Amino acid sequence: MIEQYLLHLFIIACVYAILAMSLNLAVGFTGLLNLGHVAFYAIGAYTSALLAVGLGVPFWGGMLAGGCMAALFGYLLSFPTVRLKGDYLVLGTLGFTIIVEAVLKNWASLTRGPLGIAGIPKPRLLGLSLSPLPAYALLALAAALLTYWLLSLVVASPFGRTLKAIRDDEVAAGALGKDTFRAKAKALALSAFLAGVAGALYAHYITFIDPSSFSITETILIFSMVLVGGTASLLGSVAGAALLVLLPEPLRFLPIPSDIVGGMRQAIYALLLVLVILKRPQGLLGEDTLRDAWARARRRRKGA
Amino acid sequence: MSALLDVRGLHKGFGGVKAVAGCSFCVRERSITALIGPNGAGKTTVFNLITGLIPVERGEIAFGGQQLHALRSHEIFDLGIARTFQMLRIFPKLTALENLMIAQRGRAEGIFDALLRPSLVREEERARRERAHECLRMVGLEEKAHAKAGGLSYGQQKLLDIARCVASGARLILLDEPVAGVNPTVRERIKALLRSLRERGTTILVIEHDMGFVMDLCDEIVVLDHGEEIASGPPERVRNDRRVIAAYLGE
Repeated sequence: MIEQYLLHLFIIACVYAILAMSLNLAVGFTGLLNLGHVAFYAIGAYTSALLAVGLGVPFWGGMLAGGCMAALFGYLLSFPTVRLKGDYLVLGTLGFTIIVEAVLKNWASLTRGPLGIAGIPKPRLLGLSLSPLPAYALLALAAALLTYWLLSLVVASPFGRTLKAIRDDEVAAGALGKDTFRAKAKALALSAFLAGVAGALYAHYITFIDPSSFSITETILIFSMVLVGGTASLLGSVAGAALLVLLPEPLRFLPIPSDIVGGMRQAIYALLLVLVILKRPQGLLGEDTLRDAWARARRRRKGA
Repeated sequence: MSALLDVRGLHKGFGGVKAVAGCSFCVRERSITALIGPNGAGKTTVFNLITGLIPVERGEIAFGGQQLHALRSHEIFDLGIARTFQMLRIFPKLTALENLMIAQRGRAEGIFDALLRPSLVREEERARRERAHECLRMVGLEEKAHAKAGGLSYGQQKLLDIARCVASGARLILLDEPVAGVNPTVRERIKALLRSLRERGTTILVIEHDMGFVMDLCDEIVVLDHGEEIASGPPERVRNDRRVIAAYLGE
């Protein structure tokens, strides 16, 4: 029983780690304050779930389709929004989240509205079912590791340096030969693709999705993971995701009426966020925390 | 004499203000040309028009025979024009070395190139790093290679900004007040650097208020006033021009 519970938390933490890392590509590395991430997550989850339930498409195809659909929306969203800066981009992407949520609730003939989609099949691999929890946990872990590997390659590449330059000074990046609109659109599309994959991973695990799984509070939760872990730090996002998934869990075991547990979770997130912003604004593992610690350690060894 | 940059009848207004009003001038290949004039004469606006930061209203800008209007700033950079900004625009969170590496274009800059063409990326990165070190050496910032650019002093950031243009390999470099606010040592270093760049075939257009610097360094001077060029030619001729004296000292 306790194993099942821990494996469940592990899977959820992996899904959020993918979401936080991919959001960090936009927010931390490119400087795009995107509050629309949960919409990409929803698009991936619904695409994959509808393909599986309606057309019997297997999980792997659905996951890819979910990722691609989210990437397409990410790319399209970039056209009206990449010219927006700072606060205006926040509002634009927030509007996108609200639109997607409204469509999920009201386009009942496609999405079944607030009733949600039930009976999403668990994935199979080489004829084996991945429905036992340990198997699904391995799948989630593999997806999180692949995401980490892919994103660390991208951010360390010349393209990643272009993104950081755009974040630091977009005008200068343009004057140095970078097509800033295209670079931002590509970054947003990749970020959305990975969120879509996370959505498929979530939908086929929980086997039931409805619009309430993808509300604005989710967007804020993912954003908090990025900020707590540290912007422009992939490991930070993993740490932020793990921390925010695990931190409110002890509430389950306390004698608290269940109707206030939800509120208390939000209070814990808020408290943590305020603490981090006051005490460690660069986040738990900010951009160069690890590199600097490594350099310090090396200096000390040399000095000794 | 061959003109690398040819500006003809350039116009640009902001609301009711005519920032540039029919300005025309040439920049000879392998020369150092100064663009001078009182505050508000439209010098920086001319730079912004050349580099595609703001759209041209009327007039023509030709670079090596090619029209620049309707090109975006990254396309103009790719043709071989790099610039600095009056308000420094270095990338503060990148290291000095990365600041110079970013100015060098390559074939493998796509989002998945590190995955799909790793050997090409590695090769280009090695070449960029070498060139970046070389340019840092040129401006005497070699020890700062791995320091965050945002942590450098003002003078060092100015040098880094110029080094970034040099690293780009641009044929034409536009410098917006390169020696404003820097100490005499750095000023002399910049002067020597610009001379050696000219030796190597780079063309330089520079906005500067420091007349000692301009008269000593430049081959040609273009004087702007109220968005219009009122004089141009070699320093000794411009220095004695009646309209120039009037514009600078008032009548």
